Formats: sequence, C-alpha cells, structure tokens
Amino acid sequence: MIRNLIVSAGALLALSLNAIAQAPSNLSSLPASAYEHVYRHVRHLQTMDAAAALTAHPTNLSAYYKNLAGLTQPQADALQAVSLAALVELDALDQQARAMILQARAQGHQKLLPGQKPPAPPAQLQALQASRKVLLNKYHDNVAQALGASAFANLEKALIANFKVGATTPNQGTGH
Amino acid sequence: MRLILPATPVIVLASWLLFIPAAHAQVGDCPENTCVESQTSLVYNPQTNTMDAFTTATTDYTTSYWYDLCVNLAVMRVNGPYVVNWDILLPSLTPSPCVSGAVELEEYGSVAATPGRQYFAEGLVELYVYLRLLRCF
Repeated sequence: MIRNLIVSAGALLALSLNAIAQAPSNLSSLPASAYEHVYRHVRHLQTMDAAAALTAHPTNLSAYYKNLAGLTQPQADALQAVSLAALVELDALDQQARAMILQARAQGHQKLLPGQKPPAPPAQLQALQASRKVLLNKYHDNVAQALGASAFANLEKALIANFKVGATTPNQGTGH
Repeated sequence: MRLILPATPVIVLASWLLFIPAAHAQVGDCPENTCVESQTSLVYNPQTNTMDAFTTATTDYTTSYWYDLCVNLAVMRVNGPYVVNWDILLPSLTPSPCVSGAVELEEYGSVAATPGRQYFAEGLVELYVYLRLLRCF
C-alpha cells in the first residue's frame, strides 16, 4: 500500500517575502493561462524521458498526466501533441515580445526622478498580449476537444485541487 | 535600487512513492494586467528513485516590460513527522539571475529520494523593476 501519501501543504513555511498563495473556495474552472504551465510541464517531462532513454535508466515521467487524470494512452498522446504545438506558437510570440521589450528598454529612460512617470510600454505589446490570450484560449479548447469531455473534466478537477490564487495584491516592497 | 514586487510561493508536499500533483499559483488579474503565474511540481521517478521538481513562471508582456523576472526553485526533505524539521536538498533559496524582458522562465532539478521521507518543492517567483529610481532616504 502506498503510505504517507500527501501531507497537507498548508501553512508550512513562509519562505517568501510576501504572501502565501491560498486555495480559492469556489473555483469551478481554470483560466486558459493555467494550462500553459501544463504544456510546459508536459514538455519538460518528455525531455527528461528522452534524456534518460540514452542512459541505462530509462524513465516514464511522461505518464504523469496520464496517471493524474486517468487518461487513455491516445488521450495522453493527444495532450502531449497539443502541448508541444501550443509551445511552438507561444514561444515564438514570447521571443517576439522580448525582442521588442529589450529594444524599447534600450531606447527608454533608465533613470527616473521622484514623481516622474515612467515611459509607457510599446503599444504593440498590447496587441501581442491579445494574440497570446487568443492562443491560450485556442489551445485550451484544443485540449478539451482532444481529451473529450469526461477526461478533460478529470484533468481540470485534478488541477483545480492544486490551484492556488494569490491572497494579496502585489507588494511594492521596500526600496533601498 | 530594486523593488521586489510580488512573490508567489507554491508549496507541494510529497511522499516518495507518489506522483505529486502540481500546484499552481496566480497573483493579480492575469493575464491582462500586472501579474505573475507560477506552477511548481514534484514528481517521483521510480526508475531512478529521484524526485523531479519543475517550476514555470509567466508574466504578461506589459509586466515584463517593467520588471525582470526571477525564478528560484528549492526541494526540501522533511526529517521526522513534523515539517518544521527539514533539509534543503536542492538549491537554491538564494536568488537566481533575473532575466531582462523574460515573459516565461523554467527551472528544474532532481534529488535522490529516500524511502519513508517526505519531500516538498517550492518555486519562488520575483519581479524586479529594471528602472533605477532616484530617491532620497
């Protein structure tokens, strides 16, 4: 039997400077953005398996979400395919945005006086962000379609059980 | 001068015999406004008898224009029945280099798993303003 399964993760350690994320009480679905982390985890696990396959200790970490949500192998394969496809598009968009950000930073003001308003981000970033949101929504729908209603509900339920929303607004911290 | 904006720790406590569900954290009104999202997972690998930890963090493009993104990942082993007694196995709790203009970062690492011990992982995400503010104190 599996012992010592999961010990409550609540109120363990406040290693951060600010707030500990707290579980929401009425979360019924996850935002599409949450699935990006699933895509990235899926890719990471696949990468780990691929690296291990070259050694004497092959692994099967890619089965993580299959086990988590009780997926069939075709469903698990579909989740992997959708994840990788999503990341190709997201990474390309992010690369484009980062180049724009770095370029804008290089041309912008590096020092501000007290009360001085910082320069606004490039307007194109808003458009890119809108594109990113469209992408996330599209691949969220793709995952749901690829898994089917029942399996997607199982996956979402497992993810929601571990979803936490920040309890505080961003802390400005203390400058020094 | 640097200002720490939000930190979004995610704690996953695990036993050594189980695939551990990932934890996901969100601060702010993501993804439209200033926000940070992160997810930390800890997965037991029975083939290598290791705990595999993985953290991703994302921000929106406007946020990454103002702030540099930093991600730290740590894996701890609980000693005995109480979680107040633990060892850090995977660095680091010291800040990793922040990446200018990054909108997504990943960190991962593995630690050896000891039978009967419990493990937890924490991903700490920080944003640092890149603009140097001139202030008098």
